[in-house]
Amino acid sequence: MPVPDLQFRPWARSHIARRLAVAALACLSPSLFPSSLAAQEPAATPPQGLRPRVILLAPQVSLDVLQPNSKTQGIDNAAFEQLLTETARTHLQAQNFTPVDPASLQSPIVADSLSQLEPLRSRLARGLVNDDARTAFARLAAQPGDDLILVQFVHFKEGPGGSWDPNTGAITSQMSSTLIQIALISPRSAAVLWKSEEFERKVYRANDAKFVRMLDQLYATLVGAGEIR
Amino acid sequence: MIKAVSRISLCLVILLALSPSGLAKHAKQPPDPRFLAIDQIVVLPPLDVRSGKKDNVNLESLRKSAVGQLKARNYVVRTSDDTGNVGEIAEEDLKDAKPDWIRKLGPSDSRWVMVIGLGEAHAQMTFGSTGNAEVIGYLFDRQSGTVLWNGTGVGQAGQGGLAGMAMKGMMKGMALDSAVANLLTGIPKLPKKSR
Repeated sequence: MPVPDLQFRPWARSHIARRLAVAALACLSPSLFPSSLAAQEPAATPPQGLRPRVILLAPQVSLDVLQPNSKTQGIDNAAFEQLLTETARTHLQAQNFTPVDPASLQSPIVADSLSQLEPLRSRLARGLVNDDARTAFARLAAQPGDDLILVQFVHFKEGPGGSWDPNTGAITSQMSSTLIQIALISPRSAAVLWKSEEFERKVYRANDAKFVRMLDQLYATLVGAGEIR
Repeated sequence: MIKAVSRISLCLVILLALSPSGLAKHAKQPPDPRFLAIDQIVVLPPLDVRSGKKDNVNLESLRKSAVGQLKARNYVVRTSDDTGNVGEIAEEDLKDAKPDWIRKLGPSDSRWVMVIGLGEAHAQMTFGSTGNAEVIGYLFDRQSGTVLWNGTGVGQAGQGGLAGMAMKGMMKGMALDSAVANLLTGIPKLPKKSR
């Protein structure tokens, strides 16, 4: 029986093409895709007990008045600290971390080590780990558990405002600014796992929607818990 | 006659008021003796403690400006790049300087050491152009391990209009010079030493 010459049988060519297409679709399973495509699937949420704990050090909020004797409105430290803490909790939970209030920790060694870190918050928030911090981290790392530390620092500067002299045409622009720095640190390795910073040339109030947006943008690059473990 | 007497009395009163004893209340206060005791200030390399996006600044020109201002205030000044055994200096090290840290700062043969930090230097275009600068300064006594002086200087420069827009390149430098001058007004001027 002669072998059908498929080259000259259009119905055979289309039949084979359909079979090839079906085979190709069957092969195109997610397991064969590169990881970037596989990541589009929502990651499995780890059980509550396996979510890494993050101790939230109290945020440091400071104000520098650049011109002494100038009138200053001051800042509401408590309101900023509350806003920073709540925003941190929200974003950490969204990334499958378990935020922990330092006051809830009962170990005196942990409490003492965290108190040693408090004067170093402005350095730690920008990723600068010095010898004093390493000493405190070593004590924390020796404790049971593998908690991480989140450090937040906000620095407001109130400077002279803008001006215009109509006689000479001289002008000046205002000098106030807001700096926010946040870092996530592992005491075990004394390494900065993630940090973020925003700088704006104006001073905000805690209830300013733009300030809240700034905070949310800071956490846009926060690494997920699954990427750390 | 009465008019002449009253005129003479008035002149006498004026002369008395302008006499050295009369001006004693308005005489300048002598400088703090701790500053009078300074025989030489060593100015270390400036720090860059700015936040955010940083414009290009020649930090060495900042030190030169500070040295010039100190010399104008009759201090003997030299520069040194030797920061001593303190390692990398952070702004917090200056703000919270401990005596042990101060004693290790700078060359071992120095006593009075000054550190200048650049906190802000920015120029921008509006309808015209402006420049802003902020500098911090600390003067340490290594022998006693204390901070003799610290301060902040702010400088603003700017010119409106099209001419001002063409001057944007100069604004940052002008603001920096102004900031350094304002910073060092807190250091008392010494009497000129006779040669």
